[in-house]
Amino acid sequence: MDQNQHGQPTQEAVGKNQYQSNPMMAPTNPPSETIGPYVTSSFPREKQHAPQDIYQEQLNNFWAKQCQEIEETTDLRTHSLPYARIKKIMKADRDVRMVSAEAPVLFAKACEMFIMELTMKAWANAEDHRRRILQKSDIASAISKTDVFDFLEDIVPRDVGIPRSSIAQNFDLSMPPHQNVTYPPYYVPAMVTGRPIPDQNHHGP
Amino acid sequence: MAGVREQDQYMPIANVIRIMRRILPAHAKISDDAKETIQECVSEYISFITAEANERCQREQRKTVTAEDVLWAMEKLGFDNYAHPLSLYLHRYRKTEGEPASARRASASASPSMQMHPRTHPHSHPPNYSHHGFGMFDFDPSSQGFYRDDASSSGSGGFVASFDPYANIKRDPL
Repeated sequence: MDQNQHGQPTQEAVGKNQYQSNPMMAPTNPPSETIGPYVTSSFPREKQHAPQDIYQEQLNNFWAKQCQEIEETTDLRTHSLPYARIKKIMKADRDVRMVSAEAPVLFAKACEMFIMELTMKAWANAEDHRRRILQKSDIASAISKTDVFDFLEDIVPRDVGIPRSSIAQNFDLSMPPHQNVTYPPYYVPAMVTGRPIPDQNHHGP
Repeated sequence: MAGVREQDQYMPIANVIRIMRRILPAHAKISDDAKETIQECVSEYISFITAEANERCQREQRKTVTAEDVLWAMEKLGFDNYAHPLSLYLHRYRKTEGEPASARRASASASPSMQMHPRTHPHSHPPNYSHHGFGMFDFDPSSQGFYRDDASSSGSGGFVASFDPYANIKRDPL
């Protein structure tokens, strides 16, 4: 490497580089700048357009408000989701035998928080795109950005939910053009050759 | 019953929309496919947590999925934020559950089923009840029977809570 750095003539330097590049490939790994700037894969958090501190503050406020709301509620029988429906969904799984009465009650509150958390994150995506209508793609984006929501990925197909910010996830769906196209032949290869009838036969004695 | 009906697989969409609006700003609109997607996500969430809770039951050779199993499953599946508020909720529910049945019936009659939304709102401004009017939704809930289901579910839920055959289990803490 020192010799390369101190090579005076341009031609000799080029020659030396070309000559020594092969054997010196392994020991002298070129720095990444020489090949070109690498596009480092961004973390899921960095995909969010909203400032991190504001987003985290929203989340913290949300969970703090949930605890406060539960402590302040005087009538816990005022619920937003019907217990019987929750129980039916729980028992749709044939492996589930019995469900205690408290489980649907707990799920009613859990689903409230789940709906609000998912909606809040989806709305953040809609705001990033300057929209006022919450779309299915916003929900898909919120699901893809949150690890605990992985189990929901089947509900929102990736095609619908590919956010623009995720450049790595975008791919060209168009099919490549056919390279080997067989064209019909332009000539008829087979030829039929018949023997002419000799005229002498007709003039025989 | 003869199989699970289509509408029984999801939470009532009116309830889902009402909860969504609690967290959204007033000028926000919700597309129809977003409403349906949230509906599907909620059912998937219940099934996902229930399956994990049920596995724990079977390992411990118990037959009844309890609230504790649900809480345990949520923490195991990464829903740590939910565990604390839900523990508070469960404790408070058990306190009120200890009230006499007559007081419970009086409380039930005091709060009709149409009063679905909780009294405490996350927004500081007073609640605008026109937002909860039926005209705001894309359909007439009474015609589609959603509120009838809610009313019957709430009523049956109340009675089931009173006459639940597993009442002895819920009063037996783990």
